[in-house]
Amino acid sequence: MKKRIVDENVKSLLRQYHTGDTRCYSEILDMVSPYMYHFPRIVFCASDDQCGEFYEYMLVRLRNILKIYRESQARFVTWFTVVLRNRYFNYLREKKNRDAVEQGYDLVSLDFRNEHEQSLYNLLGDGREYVHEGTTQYGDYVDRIVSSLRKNQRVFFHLYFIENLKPEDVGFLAVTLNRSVRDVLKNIDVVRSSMLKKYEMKHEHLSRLNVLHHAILQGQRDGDKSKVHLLKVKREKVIEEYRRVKLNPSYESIARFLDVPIGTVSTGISRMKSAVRGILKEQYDEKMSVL
Amino acid sequence: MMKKCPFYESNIIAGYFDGTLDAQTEEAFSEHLLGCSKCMDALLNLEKDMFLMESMKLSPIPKKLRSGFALFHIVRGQLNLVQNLIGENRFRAIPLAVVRGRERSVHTFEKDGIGLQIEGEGDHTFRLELDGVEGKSILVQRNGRVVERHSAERKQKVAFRYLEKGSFSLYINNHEFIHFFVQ
Repeated sequence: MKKRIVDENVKSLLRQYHTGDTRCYSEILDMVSPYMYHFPRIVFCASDDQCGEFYEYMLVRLRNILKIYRESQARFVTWFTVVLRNRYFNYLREKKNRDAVEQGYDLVSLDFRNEHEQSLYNLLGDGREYVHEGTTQYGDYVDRIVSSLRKNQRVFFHLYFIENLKPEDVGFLAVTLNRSVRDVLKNIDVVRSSMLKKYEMKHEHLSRLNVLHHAILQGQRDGDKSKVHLLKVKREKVIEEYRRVKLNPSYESIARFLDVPIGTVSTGISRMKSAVRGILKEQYDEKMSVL
Repeated sequence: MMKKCPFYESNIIAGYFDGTLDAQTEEAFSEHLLGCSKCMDALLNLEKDMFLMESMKLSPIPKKLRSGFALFHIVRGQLNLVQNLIGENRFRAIPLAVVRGRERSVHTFEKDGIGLQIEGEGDHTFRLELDGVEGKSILVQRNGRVVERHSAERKQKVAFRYLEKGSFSLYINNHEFIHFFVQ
């Protein structure tokens, strides 16, 4: 089911609500509830339990949040998405303070995602994991590669490894391509659309991992070692499947972004990859396949 | 202390993303963006969040969460019902007396032959009283953690006092009886 927030309807209800008519609150709540509930799952791969908890967290704050909404030409859902992200991090912080012991358990999905992003596996086929103290090392590694690339190679690098985009990279793309930041972001959205199926697959894998994680915890509580072992083997397989889904966009979408023929993109990416290989060899004396 | 970014505001971020800022703010913000990684980060996150939220399926939320919730605010020792439950079992306010010019009231709720009474106690705490719980086990959770556990073997009534603000769940014989919030 795809239930969306219709901008006109929600704005009209909010106008009513702001004049003091509190009866429409339940209608607003009905409209925003699915979006609010699913936000942690879709954006942060959180578990159902965590979604439920965040939903409750938001419920007690929603009236105050809606009070500060100022109607503008911007869509309500855009504003609400900015608010949800900020509130989600507040919720995590509060939760962490409230119960430090539970944190590791509940944030497992988020931790997993970060751990994965801090690995160069997707980027360069590097299987090493750069977690905790390795985060800076990983960042330096990528930064050195990026700064050694020529301008046009860097453009292809950012568009091809779009999941690794950082704020300064968006600025770089805007300046280099002489486009506005908004235009760059809209085009990134188009490039991302070419990976929709892959995103869905990743989410499916993460849901399976959440289920397996809970089953492992249950098995550990029950003291069933053989069951836990089997589940862990299964989990490894799902992690492997998850990693195999590469979030690289289609050449066609990059070509549309840059307004160049697909052949130019294909050549550009191939040259960028070979430049990265050269940098790795020169700086780290490492021979590595670039995916 | 880090200086607060004057542009880092939900309305501006959303407005820029949708292209609906007025010309002057748009120009100032566009210029600001290239030097502010906090705002750029917010926009980059917004792009990805919007993309994912608009392209993934949103199934209905679990029934348990849809049944509604009660929300109370404690103001100077008085518990005010801000949002009531949905459906037949709702909280009802029973006026008690006028204290310091304000009407004090107690809120009651009934389900399955069990009565719940909730009222402010002290400036920031409240009390719960359950009636009709003889032979039943009662568990009170606050913010997901057990704060009270009671087995009412021979008592008809049980009271829990000086409870602090939070999200509360009451379980009677291991079944959820009610869920409410006190702020």
